[in-house]
Parts: sequence; C-alpha cells; structure tokens
Amino acid sequence: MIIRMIILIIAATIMVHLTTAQVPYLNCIRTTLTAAICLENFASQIVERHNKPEVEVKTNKELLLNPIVIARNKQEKVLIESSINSVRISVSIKKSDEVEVILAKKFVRFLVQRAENFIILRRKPVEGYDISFLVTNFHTESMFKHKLVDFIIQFLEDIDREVSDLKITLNSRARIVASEYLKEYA
Amino acid sequence: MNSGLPAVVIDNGTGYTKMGYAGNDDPSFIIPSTIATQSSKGKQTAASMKKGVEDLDFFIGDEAVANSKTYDITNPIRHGQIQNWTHMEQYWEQCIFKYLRCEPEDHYFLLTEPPLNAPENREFTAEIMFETFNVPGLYIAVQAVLALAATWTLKNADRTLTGTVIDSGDGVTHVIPVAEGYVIGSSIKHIPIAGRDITGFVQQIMREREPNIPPAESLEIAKRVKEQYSYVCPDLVKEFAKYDAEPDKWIKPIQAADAVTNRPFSYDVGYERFLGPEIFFNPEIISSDFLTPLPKVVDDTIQSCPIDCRRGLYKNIVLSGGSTMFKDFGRRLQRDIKRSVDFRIKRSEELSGGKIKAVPLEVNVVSHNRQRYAVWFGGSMLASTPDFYNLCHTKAKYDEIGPSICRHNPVFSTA
Amino acid sequence: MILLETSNRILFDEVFNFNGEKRIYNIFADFDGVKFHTHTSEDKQQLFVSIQFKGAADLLKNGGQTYLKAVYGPLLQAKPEPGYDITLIIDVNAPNKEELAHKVSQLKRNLMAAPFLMVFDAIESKKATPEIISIDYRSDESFYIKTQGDNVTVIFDIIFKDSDDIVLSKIFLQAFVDVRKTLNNVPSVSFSQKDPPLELKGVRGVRAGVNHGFVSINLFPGHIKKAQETADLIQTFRDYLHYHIKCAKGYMHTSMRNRVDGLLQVLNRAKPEPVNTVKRTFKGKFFKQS
Repeated sequence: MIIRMIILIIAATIMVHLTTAQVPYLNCIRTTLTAAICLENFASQIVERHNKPEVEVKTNKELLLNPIVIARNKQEKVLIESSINSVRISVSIKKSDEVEVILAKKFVRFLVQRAENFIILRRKPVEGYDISFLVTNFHTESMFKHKLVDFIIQFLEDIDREVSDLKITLNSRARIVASEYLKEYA
Repeated sequence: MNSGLPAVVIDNGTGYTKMGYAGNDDPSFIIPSTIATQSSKGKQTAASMKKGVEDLDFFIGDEAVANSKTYDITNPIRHGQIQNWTHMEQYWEQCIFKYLRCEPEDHYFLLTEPPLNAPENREFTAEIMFETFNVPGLYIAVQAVLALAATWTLKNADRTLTGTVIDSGDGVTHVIPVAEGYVIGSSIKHIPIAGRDITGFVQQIMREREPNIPPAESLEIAKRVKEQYSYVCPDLVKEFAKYDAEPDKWIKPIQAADAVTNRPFSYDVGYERFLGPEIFFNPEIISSDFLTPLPKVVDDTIQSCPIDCRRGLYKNIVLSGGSTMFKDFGRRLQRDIKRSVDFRIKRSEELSGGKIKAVPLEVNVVSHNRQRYAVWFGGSMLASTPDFYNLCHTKAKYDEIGPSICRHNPVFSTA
Repeated sequence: MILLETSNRILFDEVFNFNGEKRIYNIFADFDGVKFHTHTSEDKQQLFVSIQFKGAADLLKNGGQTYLKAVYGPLLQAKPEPGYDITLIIDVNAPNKEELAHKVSQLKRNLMAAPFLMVFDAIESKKATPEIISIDYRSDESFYIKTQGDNVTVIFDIIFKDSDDIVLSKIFLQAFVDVRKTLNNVPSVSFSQKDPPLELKGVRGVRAGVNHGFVSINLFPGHIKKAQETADLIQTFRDYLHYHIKCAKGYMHTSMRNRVDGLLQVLNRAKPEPVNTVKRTFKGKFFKQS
C-alpha cells in the first residue's frame, strides 16, 4: 500500500514536472496566437463575391504576414501563418519512438474523422505537420477569441497527454495479458 | 481475395442480435443486444487512472442478463441506431471471438443498419471494423432491403428489390417502402404498436380474468400465450360469437406450476388468442392517441410514394420481425389493404363517369417461415453470392481513402 | 474474457440439439481458418460433422490420427467427406448427449493438441521423438515443435497484415519476455522479428520477412507433465495474441473517444450562449426574450 502511494506521488510529481516544463512553450504559443488572431472580413480582390481564407488561397502577398514557428525541440513545434482574414495553425507532435508515432497517427486520424464537429479543424494537415487548424474571421465573429485560444492550448496539452497515457496503459495492458497467459502454465 | 471461408453476417437489432455465417439457413446465435459492463462510477476515467484490463470484463447477450446483479446492463442500440460506440465495439469483440470464434482478418463481414441511418454512423462502424478488427471486407446493408431479399428463396418469387417491408419487432413497427434497392426515406411510417404492447395487453386481460395466475409469472405466461396460441381472426364479432357458441372447442385450459412454490394452478386461454394481434388492426383497443390501423398505414405509405413505383410496392408487401409471425396475419393484412385499394379504384371509376377503366391492382402480402430473422437470412443469402465479394469495401481501399468509402454501399443486382 | 475458450459453441449447440427431427445443413468457421460442415443424413438419424483445416495433413501425420482415434473411437470415419479432412458421424440415439457434444465441440482443439501430446508423451516415456515437427496451419503461417532433451520449444511464425499491428505486437511480445522473469514455473518466451530463430536453422520452408514474427516458447518438464492443460494453452497462443492486440486497439478507441468528447466541450465553450431564447412561464405560456 505504502509502495503504491509512493509510486503515485512520484507519478504525480513527474506529471507536474512535465507540465511545468511545457508551460513556457504553451505560454509563448498563447501570446502569439492572441496577437495573430486579429482578423477582419475581407472579400477576394480577384473574384467578385468570393470571400476565401487568404492564408489558403494566397492571392496577394500583401495580405499575408510572415509565418512564425515556435519550436520546443526538433519535433515539437507549432507553425502559425496569419493573413488578413485567417490564421492557420499547424502542430507537430512529439514522437519519441515508433509506438508514439503510431499512437499520434491514430489519434490525429481519429480527430480528423470528426472534423465536422471541430469547426476549426483542417481536414488535411499542412505538409510536415501532424494536424492543422484554420481560424477565419467568421469563426472569430461567432466565438470568443480567448476561448478559441484556450481550446488550442488545451488541445496541445491533451494530445501529448493522450499519447503518453495510451503508451503507459498499452504497456501495462500487455504485461497483464502476458502474465495472465503464462500464469496458466504454472 | 475470397479465402473459401464463409462471410460473417451480424444483424444488430434493438432487442436481439442475430449472428452467424453466410450460406446457412439459420443464424447460429440469437442473443439479446445487451452488454453487461463493470459498474463504473461516473462514465470513464482518464487513461492514466486505469491500470488494467477492466474493459475486458464484460458479458453480452444472455450471459449479460444472467450477470445483471453485479454488472451494469445497457443496450448499446436504441431505436435501431447505435448509441454507445464503446459498448458496441466491445459487443462485436465478443460476438467475434467468443460466439462465432473466428479470426476477423480471415472473413468478410456483412452488417446491417436501420433505414435512414446517418452516414457518419456507417463511417464509425467502418472505423471499428477495419481498424480494430482488420476485417478484409465490409458491407453495410439496409435491413429492409435484406428482408426483401429473404423472400427470393420462396417458390415462384421474382427476384426484386422493390416492395414494402413491414418490420415489427419488440419495440416499434416500421413500414418501409423500397424501390429497386433504395429506401424511399420520406415515406417511411412508424407505428408505436409492437410485440411488447401485445404482451402487455394479453397480460392485462389475463390478470383481470384469471386470478389463479401468480403475479410474478403473469408476464411470462402472457408471452407464452402470445407466441404459442395467438392468431389473427378475419372478423372480430364473428370470432366472439364462435367462442361463445362452442367454448370447449376454442378456450384452452392450461395446467402449470408456480416456479417458486411449485404449487400447481390452472388457467384458461380464451379471447386473448385473437384479441392480442387484433391491436394491429384496431389500435383503439389499447391506445387512445394512435388510432390508425396497420393496413391503413401501409396504404398511406404506398400512396405517399412516387406514383411510378406504387404498383410494385403493392405487389410485394413483405413481413419481417417476430411480431408478424401470427397465423393469418398476412392474409388479414392483404384482405384489408385490397379492400381499401379496390374501394379507391371503384370510386375514381365512378367519378370519371365510367369513362376510365383502371387496370386491376395486385396486392400481395408475402409471408414465409423465416420472418423472425428475415433480415439475417437475407444477409446470409446475399453474402454467399460471388457478387457480395465484389461489392464489399476492402481494407486496401479503406487504408487508401478512409472511412468515407462506407458511406455508400452499392445495391445488389437482382439478376 | 481474457483467455479464449477451446470449444466451439456452435458445434456444441448443434450436436446437443440434434434430435433427428430437423434437417441440418450448416457451414461455419473457427479460428485459424478452420471450416466446419455439419449435416444430417437422408433419414435425419445421423449427424455428419466434418472439418476442413489447412494444417490437418501435417497434424494427422504427427499424432493426430492416433489421438483422434483414441478420443472419438467409432465416431471417426476412415474416409472423410470429399473436400474435408476429418469426418465424425454421430448417431441420434447416442447416449449422454451433453458429454458427447462437449467432446465433439473440442474437435479442432484435439486435432491441434495431438502433436504436442505426442511429443510430451514421448518425452515422459523417454522415447525418441522427431527432432522437429513443422505444421503449416494457416495460409501463410506455421508453427514448429522442437525437442531438446526434456525441453520442448514451440516456435510460432506469426504474420501481421497491418503495419501498425507489428509495432503493437512488439509491445505485447516484449511483455511476454519481461513478465516471465517475475513469475515462477512458467515457460520462457523469446521473439525475433523478420529473421527466424536459430532453432529453425536448416529447416526447410521457413518463411521470413518484415511482417513475420517468430515467437519461441520454451516448455520445461513441469509443463510437459500437465500435458492436456499445456496443449490447450499453447495452441491458442497465436489467436490469444491477435485477440488482445485487437482489444487493445478497441481500448484505444474508447480512450480517444472520451478525449474527443472532452475537447469538443472545450471548443463549444468558445461559442457564446444563444441570447434569443424562448422561455416558458410557470403558467405554461411561451415568451421570447429579446
């Protein structure tokens, strides 16, 4: 019992440690996003009665801002591309081994499958990234901006947590499965 | 591609799941669509909080019902639609590995869906089937279409996928028109009268008349009376007169023993034999808000369909589901529909002043002895044709394109 | 359900309910690509149970024939039905239906167990055994039984069709290797991906490749003594592994579903509450708030 508690405490400290290590990274993303999501309705300059996210169509250079990459390390990074009426946020997730690669891939696919509900989720990630969001002025008009930023931050936290949680449970599950089977021989 | 092993056919209904291998006449298992999972306070805890394989500790079907004391019982399917995907995934897991005992990677799968199912649900089903179970091929068929296909084996039946399906299970009755394999969604009608209501009605009559029946067994007895003795009569008044004239011939005395105390008791089975199923034809007997008799609903359904397919729909009215099994149910239905159709034709002839003569309209209600699991049987038959393997969505396609391929399932050719 | 069952439920029901009144004609499957066929004779007084199994020839050669004869006795037919490998005939008047049904439902289990039992028996009675028995039992997979002194090594050649499954299988197989150290009296397990282990050196027809995994299970004399139980377990190993990989994927889906629900809630919080709501007064009237 005591051992279990100690393990729990250690686990808890590791968790806290992980999140605190992530805080500056996430804070940086938060401030950048708050600044970047400053959008206005902007009709197409080329086609009449068209109104498209400029960051996607890229019709005119002067409507685009310089893209920003916020990187924590080689793999964990966020690309923020802004324009006059839309912001595209692309996320690359930490993948330290092949199990995490698969888990991240599965989770991302699972999310994209439900993109309909996640209004701002882009169905295809930008090349070189795992998952992308597209926020347009129509989104900011119908939703609270700070809550949208909250969502993206929460998302970044959750996706890391989900991958590491799954990895842990997968391992413990495998151990149970293996010992249940081998025990039968004894 | 086709490994020589039969395809797996699973029909998940609201009440019961029918499953087995394609090509057989009967499903190998008919079990309640119920799952008993470990009691979980709150819904789900985070992945990190769980340490084990709690999700493997569950039962399905009859075993779930037997374990209802120590486990949480839920039905993952409501009104024909899958509500809880987690439970459904577990349910399939045990269907495959415990009941059918097959390696899903070796078998093609045919699953069923209710009419008007959302395409997203098909995608979720595909996601589970292809990603979790790695099935090589999957086809999701509409239940009503399979019920139509189930009649193909009858003598002098034409292989058509046009017809009206009357699907009556335990909870609700649907009237579903199908034209050339496609459901006419806008014309589907529901009737809130089905098996459960008949049982309840029989139970009520018997409780009032037979004081000998122990209250704990009244439901079971009502079920037995419904399943074994009930039939549909041609005329209610005449049937009452018949019973009153010769009570010995029609009213059956039954001897039984109390399951708990073992004390014997006896009761009579009388008017409820024909009164039970009669609520389909005279719903006012039990209901005060739903008053349209079944033949009228069928007639209305077909009348609301495009005019060019109505003849086909009248010609092939197919029964499916356990609550359509009453003796002479089809005959009465056919007679009543025919009556209202003929009346309408006669009336229009009169109105035209005899100038227009209508081509006689054929009304045909098809009964067969596999109505209880007609949907499964239709699936079993179609999944054993070589055509099935061509129509299935394959894992290779799924991996290439994604779950959206399962949004559309091509119609079987009737040739 | 953690461990898989060894008997076939459909077969059990069919034999148990066989009463000579109803015509039976069924085809159904079991793990490892086994196909069963049951049908009644013309007069409905006999039930034919046939099994088709790719590994049947190898299994029958290596102890299967003798073991099945011992278990099923007169039920076993010398000449199986065309297209099938083994046929049993059950008479409608056979006594003790339940026991019989149970015995018949174990047909595939007994067939698979035969070579193991043969080898175990030979070791117990210190008889010579073939050095290596290879059973080609699935379309692309085999297992091998190798005896070394009084130990038996069973090597499974397992295929994973899905590339993700290869990675998941590694986790599971590694767990088998690790867990063994914490338990007493259990067989030792080792595995290798792609290349066959040394024990299979020189054996003909061994397949290898990226999606092949080789799992060696080393059984000790203690296990060989409990021949029946060990044979039960060892033959389900492949299906057990595959089953649990699938369950793990199902579990991952559950977890992801919950996470998605949580995230959606966060996103929906960003939407302002609808302002113009129709409310109901306590008298039951509706009014629009503007």
